[in-house]
Amino acid sequence: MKGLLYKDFFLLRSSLIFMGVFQLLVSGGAILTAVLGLEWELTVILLTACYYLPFLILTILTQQLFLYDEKRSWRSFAGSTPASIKGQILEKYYMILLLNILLLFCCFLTDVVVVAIAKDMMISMSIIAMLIFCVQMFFQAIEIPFVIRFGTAVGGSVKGALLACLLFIVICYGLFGNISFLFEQDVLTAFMEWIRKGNVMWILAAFPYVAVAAYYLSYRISVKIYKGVDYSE
Amino acid sequence: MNKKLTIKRVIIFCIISFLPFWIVVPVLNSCYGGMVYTVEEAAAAVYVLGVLGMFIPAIANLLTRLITKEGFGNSYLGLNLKGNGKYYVAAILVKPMEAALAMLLICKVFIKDVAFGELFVREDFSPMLALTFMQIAAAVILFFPAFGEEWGWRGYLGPKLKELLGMPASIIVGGVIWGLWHAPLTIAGHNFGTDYTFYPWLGIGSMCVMCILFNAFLTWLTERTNSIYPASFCHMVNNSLQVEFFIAMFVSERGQEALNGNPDYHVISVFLLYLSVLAITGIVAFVALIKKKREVQ
Repeated sequence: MKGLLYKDFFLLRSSLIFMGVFQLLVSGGAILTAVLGLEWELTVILLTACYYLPFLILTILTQQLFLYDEKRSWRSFAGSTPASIKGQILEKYYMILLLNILLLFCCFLTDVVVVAIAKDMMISMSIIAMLIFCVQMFFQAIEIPFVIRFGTAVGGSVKGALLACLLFIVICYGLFGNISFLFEQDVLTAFMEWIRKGNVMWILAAFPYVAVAAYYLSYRISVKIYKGVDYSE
Repeated sequence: MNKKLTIKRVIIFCIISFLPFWIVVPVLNSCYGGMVYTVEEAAAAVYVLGVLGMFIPAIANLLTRLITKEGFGNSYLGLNLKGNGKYYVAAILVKPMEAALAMLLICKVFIKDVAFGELFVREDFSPMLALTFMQIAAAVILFFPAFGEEWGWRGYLGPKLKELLGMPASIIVGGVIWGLWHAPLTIAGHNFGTDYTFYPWLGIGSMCVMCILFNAFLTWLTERTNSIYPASFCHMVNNSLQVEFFIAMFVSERGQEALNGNPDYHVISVFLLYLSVLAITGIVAFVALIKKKREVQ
């Protein structure tokens, strides 16, 4: 397993360096937001964007993880290694999880610095970073089995379709649902109040557990559907 | 086993772990003109101190290994999930259950005017319960500060003390060292404030007892799984879902008023009640570790 992780880190090294630099810039942006002492709501929105962007870039990077292993010659070889197909797939899941955790750690540290600078003007937003992490893991859990079975192009299309569906649901809710909190003077406080009432809190509370369970289930599915796959070049 | 080298490593580790707090906390106290945990303006500084301070033992582990050229074998960094699921579940659930039990005990002892059944009647009970589950998830996923402590104490010092002293003594000595590491914070008002009898010695002593009991459970988790992550999750869940959290989330407004109105309800008496609950898991874990050691022998 360690050897496979080293292999993937080595193959992705230039992308990881780019990610590292990007993360530094984004963290710097987040800290600058705190230093500027902007309005609370604007700060929250900017910080959320700062925490989300690296995860978005990581999504593209993780597609590369599978791209290298899509060649038929490697797949034939991979099945003959001591790690076997199960180990190869498990390593991909570990790698993606590790990269996401590293990003989450960077968001966490950035958040601590932001709180230190902003003092009483800002609360910790690490929960937001955690929810972004869970969303990321959930979408990866859906995408990876398709990538394993049909290749990165199809996997990416499936994820794109899922995102489009979600956007459609959000637009429908925006047109027909209760969005009165958007017209309040203090939008974020009204939004937090809307989350607290009703079942939205339960959906948010259950989501991390669903994301973790989905990621594990995704691994089991990937192992099952990998066998007997015959890629054509 | 080279005892002299192990003792040298323990000393280096302890020096690197202890120094930062003994330097930073008094500086902060003088900057804010009082014990930082009691000064309102120092809230942000205290938060940052707490979070970043938790990484000190991990840094001490790293530096000690580099200085003494120990390498990174036996570093407990593997997940080792296979066959250890029950330990991971125990790591996440035991502490909230303890805190909930402590809450019930505290309400039973300190609230006399309100019927026990009425104590937990709240309009917002459902969202509070949801928030509790989210807090547990957040504590596990954002486990980084706890990993910082655990990789130092259970991942490095614990095995070294076990080499030198054997399992039972290593848990007690490790717990005392861990409790004393908190001493600058305890003196600054962490956990107990500064307004209690025999300040700060009672606070430091209570902290050492708590750390011994907690150390037993965390060591049990680490030894059983050969991984630092269950202990990290357990520690973070413990820090995030303390008995005060449960009281704020689940005890009704009337119950909280009755609690705050009771002159006997103060931080040391609450802590001693909480210790009695903590002692259950601590002693069970301690006995389990001794039993395992005897089976191996």
